[in-house]
Amino acid sequence: MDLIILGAAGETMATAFGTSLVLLVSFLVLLGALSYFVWNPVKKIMDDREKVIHDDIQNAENSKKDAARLRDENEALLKQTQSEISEMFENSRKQANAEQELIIKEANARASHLITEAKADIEREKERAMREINDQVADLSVLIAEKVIQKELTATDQQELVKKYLQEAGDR
Amino acid sequence: MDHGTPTFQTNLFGIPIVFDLATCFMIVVTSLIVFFVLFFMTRRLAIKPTGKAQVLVEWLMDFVRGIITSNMAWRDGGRFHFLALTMIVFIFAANLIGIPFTFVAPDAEHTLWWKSPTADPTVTLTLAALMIVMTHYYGVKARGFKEYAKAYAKPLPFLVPIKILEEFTYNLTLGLRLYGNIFAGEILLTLLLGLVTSGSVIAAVGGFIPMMVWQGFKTFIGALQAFIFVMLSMVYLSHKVSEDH
Repeated sequence: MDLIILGAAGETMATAFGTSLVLLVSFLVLLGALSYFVWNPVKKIMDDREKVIHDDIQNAENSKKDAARLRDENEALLKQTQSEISEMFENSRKQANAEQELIIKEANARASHLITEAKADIEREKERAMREINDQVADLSVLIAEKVIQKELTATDQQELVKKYLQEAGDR
Repeated sequence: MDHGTPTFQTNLFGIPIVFDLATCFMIVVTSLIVFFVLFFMTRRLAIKPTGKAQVLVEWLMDFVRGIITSNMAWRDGGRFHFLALTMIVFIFAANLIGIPFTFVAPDAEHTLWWKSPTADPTVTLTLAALMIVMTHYYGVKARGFKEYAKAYAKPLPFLVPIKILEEFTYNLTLGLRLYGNIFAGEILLTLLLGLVTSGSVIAAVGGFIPMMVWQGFKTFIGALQAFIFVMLSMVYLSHKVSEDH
């Protein structure tokens, strides 16, 4: 048995350096050609895809962040708006209440004023009426007295009356 | 069953240079097939793949990347990606090319013209030598000659002769493992083919199914050996290139 196994393969196979040369050349050419025409383009595509996916993920993350930010902003805005609205309601209600009270107070004041005025008027009128009535009653009683006196005081009556007064004056 | 081998010999400065013409022919054929198959598989590339071809090539690239990253950091091993890819497809195609049919010239020597190039030890040992020499080149390049030389004295200084011998055995085992597997497969395939074509009906029927089974198994062996060859090449490379081990 030969020392190196290659020696046992037969005389024709011994040290076929030509074959090695052909193999090396064709392998290196194949390596170059495949690298240029196949591996590089495929690698480029894969890298591109990786980049696209990376970008997409980045974009998605950004969008998510934006969405969260917008949501927060909107919520804050909504809350603010709600509080503003409730504040406005509160304010307007207070104002309305105040106005209402004011109006009522004014109305009350005016009403009492009117009432007192009216009462005063009434008193005044009453007094005036009473005075007038008194005056008229006095006039009337005088008138009536005149009339009664004129009608009743006949000649006999006058004689009687004179007699009476004279008797009374004699008695005394 | 002996087949003749067509050879062409020339002398360069008195050294005989022998060409195994059948093997050379098959090397060129294999290279062309590999190139054109891959070339036409990757003509319509898109970020969103439109066909299965691109997916297959991309899977292959990821697969080989996996082989490399299982041995060394991608920072160190990335530059061997294309080499390992070319190596694995070339060896795979070379292993498979002898399976579907054969061609024996009808001359007195039964010259065999169609066979797997990897069924020739010259081819496998040349490929192995290419990888092993490369490991040394990149070992020196990556870590400097001093570190490279120091690695021989690790873990123990008296192991230096064994470590040096080991480099040669790497080459032999790497090349001959591939050669042995493919050559043995081709021999058995040739024997079964001889049985089927012997003229006897019983032999033809009896030999046909084992031949089919063997062809299937040889396909598996071809793929496996291509994987093992590249895997071991990367293991040897990582020994030389990587700092940590």
